[in-house]
Amino acid sequence: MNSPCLYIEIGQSSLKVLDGDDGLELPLDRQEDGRLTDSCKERLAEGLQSFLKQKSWRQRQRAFCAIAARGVSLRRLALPSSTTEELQRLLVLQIETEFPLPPDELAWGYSQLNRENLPANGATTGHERLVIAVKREVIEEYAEILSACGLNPVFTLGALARSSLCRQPPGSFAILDVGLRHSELIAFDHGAPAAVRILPWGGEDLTRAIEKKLQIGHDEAERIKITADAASAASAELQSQIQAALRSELGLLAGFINGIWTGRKLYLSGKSTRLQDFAPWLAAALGGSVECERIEITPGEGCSATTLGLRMSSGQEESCPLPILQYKREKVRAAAARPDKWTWAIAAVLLAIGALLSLRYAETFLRQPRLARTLKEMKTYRERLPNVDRELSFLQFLQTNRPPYLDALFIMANAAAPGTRFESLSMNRGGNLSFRGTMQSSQQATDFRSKLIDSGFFSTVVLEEQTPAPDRQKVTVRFSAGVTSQHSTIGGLPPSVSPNELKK
Amino acid sequence: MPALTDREKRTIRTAAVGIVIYLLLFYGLRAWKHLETNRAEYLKLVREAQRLEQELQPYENKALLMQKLKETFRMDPSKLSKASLVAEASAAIQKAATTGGVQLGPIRESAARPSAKELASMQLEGIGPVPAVMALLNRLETLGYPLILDSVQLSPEATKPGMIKLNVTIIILDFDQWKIEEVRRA
Repeated sequence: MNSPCLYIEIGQSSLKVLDGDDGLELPLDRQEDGRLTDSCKERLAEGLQSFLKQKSWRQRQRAFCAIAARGVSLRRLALPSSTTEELQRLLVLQIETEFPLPPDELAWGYSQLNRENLPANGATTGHERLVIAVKREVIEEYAEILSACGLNPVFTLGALARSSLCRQPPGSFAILDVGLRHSELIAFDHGAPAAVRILPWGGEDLTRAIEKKLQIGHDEAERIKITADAASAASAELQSQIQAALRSELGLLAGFINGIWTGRKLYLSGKSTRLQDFAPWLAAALGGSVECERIEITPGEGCSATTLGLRMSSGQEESCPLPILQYKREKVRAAAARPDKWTWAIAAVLLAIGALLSLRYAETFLRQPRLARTLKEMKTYRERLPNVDRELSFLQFLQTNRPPYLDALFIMANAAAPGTRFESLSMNRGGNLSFRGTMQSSQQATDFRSKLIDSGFFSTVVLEEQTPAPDRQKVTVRFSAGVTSQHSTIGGLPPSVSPNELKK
Repeated sequence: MPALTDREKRTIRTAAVGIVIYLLLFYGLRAWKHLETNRAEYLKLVREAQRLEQELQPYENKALLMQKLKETFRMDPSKLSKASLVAEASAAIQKAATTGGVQLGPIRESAARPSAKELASMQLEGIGPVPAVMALLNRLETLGYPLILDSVQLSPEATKPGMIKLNVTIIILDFDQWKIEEVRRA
């Protein structure tokens, strides 16, 4: 679906936008070199965005832009018949020759002039082309602002656009567009543009003339100029004074025109030409041989001869018949290529996919060497596992076959009453103990046995023999005992101990 | 060199894009297959590592226990030499007795029972004060050799008051007889 086009006139002091029936007019502030000021650019961008209300999802709207004639060069170049590609190359060569700047630094466009006089079949005659060119920076400045507002601008010359509204007579004619401080004059010769000029005269000159003649303020003079018809009814003397002032200024304008153009028909456009007697007074000032006719346009915001001419030109054919200025869009492309949120989203998705894929394979490269090394260590360790089992079994056997001799002796020493004498004591690995000695009395032997049993170290204690000595002062005793199974080993650890206990 | 027309530039651009797409498809596919093969090998390694880890996990307890016992007995069974074990153990026992103040008497060695995984049996006799004898009994456990005190006999020395006579039978274990099969059977 094609979105409707936008028509923009970029003049010296104002920018007019025509979008269907809606219109917008914004003032322009320029520096001494003709470039727009930064504040003016910001204001323009804000104003246009507010007017357009461009949606981010919408396709960029095409904008036909007509620029003022300041800085524009217009040439008629005769070129031989050629294909479109060759024509481009020839034009570049001609532009390099004819214009002071190289083609890369220019925004230029062309149109064919003598269509109606195409040569017959087989003829080798060439064609004449109209080439218009302007410094690239001028166009880039406008394009940057308009692209930032979501528009797709194409540029042409405003003076040519205005000619679409004129009934073109067979001879020479011209169109004068009167602006605030300057006027543009484009001359046509047999329907083809011949020259375009900027005249240092505008509607402001009329206001100043009235101001000077009547010795009044600027605002008052502007009001009188606008309401000149009403003033005619108010005072004849005042009217004559105003007429004299206006005629004097128009004479000045006629002097400028006569210096650069001679023809029969002059079309007028611009707000100042709405003065009732502007056309006849100017015709008189031009010598009476020139017919002046105002181009009538529908009044309204954004409506001017230029914007309406643009609309008419683009509406006549599929493509605009006016020459479109082309240039290397470096900066503008950069601005247009500014990634929007969708671009960022797509980039983020692609990045995420890339990251996932790279992680999938990066893991292999990053971890495989270390994993292989660890695996090798684990295999080496596994080969040593039988030795672990063997050594552990050996150590556990050693641990469980060491009888607690010293513990048994310690318990017996504690249990023995004073005066007890050990004559022999033997123990073996099986935990069997035999003891022979003398004690003071049989009571001591009984107590000794009781204490051994109470210690819990011995499972059985047997008093095998108890014999009183011949002097009845001592008792010879012989004991046998067995160590309990839970105390059958010394020191060490039980066979199964948890790793945590071991670590502690 | 003549300047290229827009059509020629467009043709060159199209050809370049086509070549790039072809190269991407050709080499990209090969690179992708290579990467997939590498990844399959890596995953295989991961699975093997996990299996080994599960296999080795039970040995953690055993390894710690073995280390603890080695420290307790001050002995590393794998470093015991069967050829010199008996001589070294005998020398260590005599040295421990002498330095501890126990006067050793006759020492008799005899071949032990191989079926009981014993390398040799020693019978020692000695005389010394009670503390020295007790200390010797304690030190025999931690000499760094696989010694088991099979039997101990203590009796007073009639000729030397305050001294006791020690008669001990020591068995030296043979580590080589702890075969893997036996370990597993045990």
